[in-house]
Amino acid sequence: MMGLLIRKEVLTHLLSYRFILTFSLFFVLVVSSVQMIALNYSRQVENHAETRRAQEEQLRESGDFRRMRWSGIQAEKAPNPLSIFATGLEREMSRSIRISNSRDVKLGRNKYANPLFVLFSTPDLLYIVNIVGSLLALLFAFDAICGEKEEGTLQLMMANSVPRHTILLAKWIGGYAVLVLPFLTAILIAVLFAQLTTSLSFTGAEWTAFSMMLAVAALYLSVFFALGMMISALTHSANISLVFNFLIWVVLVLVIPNTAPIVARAVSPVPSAGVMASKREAVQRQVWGEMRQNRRNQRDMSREERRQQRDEIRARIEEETGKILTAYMRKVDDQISMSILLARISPSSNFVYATANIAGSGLDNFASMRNVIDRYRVDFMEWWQAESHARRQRAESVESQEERQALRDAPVDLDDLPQFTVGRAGLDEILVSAQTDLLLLLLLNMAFFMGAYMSFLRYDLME
Amino acid sequence: MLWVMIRKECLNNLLELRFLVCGGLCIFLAVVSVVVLRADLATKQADYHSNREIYRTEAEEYGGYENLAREGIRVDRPPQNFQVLFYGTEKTLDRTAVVSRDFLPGFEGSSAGNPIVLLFPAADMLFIVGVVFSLLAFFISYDAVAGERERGTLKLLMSYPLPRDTLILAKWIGGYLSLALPFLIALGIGALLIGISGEITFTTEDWQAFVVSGLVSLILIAVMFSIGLFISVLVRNSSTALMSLLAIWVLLALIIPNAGPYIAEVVAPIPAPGAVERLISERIKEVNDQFRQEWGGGGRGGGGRRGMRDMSTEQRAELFQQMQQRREALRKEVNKVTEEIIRDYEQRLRHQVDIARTITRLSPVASYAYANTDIGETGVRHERNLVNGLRAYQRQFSRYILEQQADAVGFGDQEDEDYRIDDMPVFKLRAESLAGRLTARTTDVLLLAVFAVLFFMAAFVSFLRTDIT
Repeated sequence: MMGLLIRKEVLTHLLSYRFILTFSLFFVLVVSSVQMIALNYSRQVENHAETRRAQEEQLRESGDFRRMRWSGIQAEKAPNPLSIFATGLEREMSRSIRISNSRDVKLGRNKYANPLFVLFSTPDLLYIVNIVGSLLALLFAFDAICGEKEEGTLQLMMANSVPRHTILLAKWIGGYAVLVLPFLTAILIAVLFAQLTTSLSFTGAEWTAFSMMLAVAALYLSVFFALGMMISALTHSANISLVFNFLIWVVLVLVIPNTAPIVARAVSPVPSAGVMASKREAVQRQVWGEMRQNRRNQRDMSREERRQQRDEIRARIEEETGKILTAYMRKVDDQISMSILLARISPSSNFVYATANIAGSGLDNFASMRNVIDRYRVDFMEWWQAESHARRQRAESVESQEERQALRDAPVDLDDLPQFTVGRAGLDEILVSAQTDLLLLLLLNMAFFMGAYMSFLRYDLME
Repeated sequence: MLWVMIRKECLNNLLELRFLVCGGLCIFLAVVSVVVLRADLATKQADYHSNREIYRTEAEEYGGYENLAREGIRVDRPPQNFQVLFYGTEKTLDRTAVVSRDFLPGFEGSSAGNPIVLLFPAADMLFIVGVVFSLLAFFISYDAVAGERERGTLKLLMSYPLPRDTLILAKWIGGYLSLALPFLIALGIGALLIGISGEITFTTEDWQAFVVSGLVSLILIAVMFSIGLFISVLVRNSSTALMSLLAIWVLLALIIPNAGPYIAEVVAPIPAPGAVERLISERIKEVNDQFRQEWGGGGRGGGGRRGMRDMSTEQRAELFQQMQQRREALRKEVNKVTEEIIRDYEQRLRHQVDIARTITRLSPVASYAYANTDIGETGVRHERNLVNGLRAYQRQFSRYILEQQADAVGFGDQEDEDYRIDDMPVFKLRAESLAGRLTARTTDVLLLAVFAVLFFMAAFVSFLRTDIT
């Protein structure tokens, strides 16, 4: 019986105008979006390679070793292939940054970047599923029950010996399959096409993450499908059901996710980042000023003592500015968790947070990027200290002034230089970071399906 | 007759549940968005003013003009009044610029910012009108003709001595009026919320821009409504009409405007921002090396300083002056080189933006977004204006430093005794006049009007020829 009902559902959907339209829309959107952004990604990969090449060449030629302590080193994250499906904060994270012992690192869009990218959001897969996909899911389900009732076929069906829950389950399975299968096909075709025509290629871990993204998308779509069924079982006319579906969709998908961060900003305010940077610089200036005062009193220090004092002062500055930064970051993190909390009512925000985190372009990745940068700075400075020490020792054994100079300014050995790499989080880490979102999506799924079930059991066919 | 028909249409719409729910939703959305963005703007303004003080105090602590010139002064992005309605390019982490003598300034973000706003499109008036109201327009219009045809009331209507042109005109006017009503209510409440707010002050020109942007929104709603009516005439069955319109809506409101920049990047590629930075630093290095060679590689230490001990005071002063001149020349050369590269890059970027605009103008929603963000000064044009303003400020700043240093005595690196920066120029953005902004966006507004007329004509003509039975 169940199989028959499912077959009926699938066939009705497949033969409808709605299905043809949905399928072609999905197909066109997904394929062109993936292709477009993959082309963009190819260019990013080229640019990144070019940057690295130029940098290595420069390091090989230059005799600026001593200045590197101040001028630092340019670091740039390698483009993330999964970000073509979920751009998220990729553009903010992938600009090249200068890492030195003093400066405040800048993340964010490059000041020379195209301003249109700020004005409009990226039409990536995340966006398509989040907005178009959820709408289509509702459209598939909005008249599942009330539509059949209006047509009179529901009564007819119930005249046979079919239990209500079988009907509902068959409707859910049939409708959902017809919604999700074309969607997944479109994505797979798009990815294969992009792999053939652009320089996109995935490693094993990336394939795993990608399939997880697909699973989350399927889960997200089923939330809206169940929601549509529930509303359909609560109303008695397809028109009214459509209106309520639309209303709820607008609130869940368009309003809550983007209003929440701005509300959170008003509720838990944070001073602007510029002020924090100027505070840190003030500390630096103050400490150095103190040292200069002290120096005037102790003119008879040896070179070694001076160096030691300088190092101590650097450590002190590091510590004090670090404190300011930590206090500030705590406030920012509070604000972020507040906005996440506010937005959690909407499955759309859960979906976006989870998918972006899985793709490696989400909020968690942005936060860990900061840590990666800090760690790299430490590595880089340690490397510089060690290298500088080694060079000094080598130089002492040489007699001639010029040779000594040449030794100390010799080009850098690239193999020793610490590499700036932003690793992809492991599957377990991703699961941990996305667990709340996934759990909420699952819960909503169950809640809506139960809602549909309860109201369908009590549905009045005769009214 | 027309009047009766219009009344019928209006009443029909107004009394329907779908209209009440959707219209109410739109008004509610608009109010929420204005309230939230107003609070956001108030915080930004307060921040802006207090930060300015902080930055100034910071500059006072430098203790010398040379230090000030090198370290520079921080400038925050000035908050725009119109972000209450059109958030536009305010959605960015890049809020602070450092204006120093030596580098081309630009607003940049800090890794310490809160990136969460960037994950979603902003829920501002631009979004509400361009996305939600467009959908509402389709919702109202999809069964305007197709629905009556299905129910059979269309046949009934035509059995009266009622010309077809009157009927379709009445349908358009009635439907459009019932759409404009919630929009105008929303806009009115928005204006009220802005007006009564103590923190935000709209100037007369701002209010004029407000009215103009409202008119542009009304044109967009007319375009979308006409498209809906056209499809409703064309398609026999109202659910088919709805489905087709939803597909059109997805393309026009959600995909085409957003895809524009990506397509343009494929069509008219420009070097990546990182590559520009690299080019600049390479050229600067070249210039530096060239100067170093010309000056015999002495650097600032080496033989020079040791020799200085034997010099007389005049000789020393002369040497100092020479060094000063040399530094000045180097700086000028570096600035020239940088500016050349950037100017070239920006020209290509502008070209790319133009291409993106031209492509996306296929969608009225994109034209609408360009027009209203520029009218509200939160768009691409404002971004350019901001950068130019920042550069102009840098020139003022450098000139100021130069004059002050000429007045001061002693060697540049030391602390100046009479270091006072009360009269230092402050960054002020010159707002563009409304007329100028509108002229820049004439194409978009005209295009919207053309779309409106075109689709209305299409609906009109196809209704005249449609087969009712």
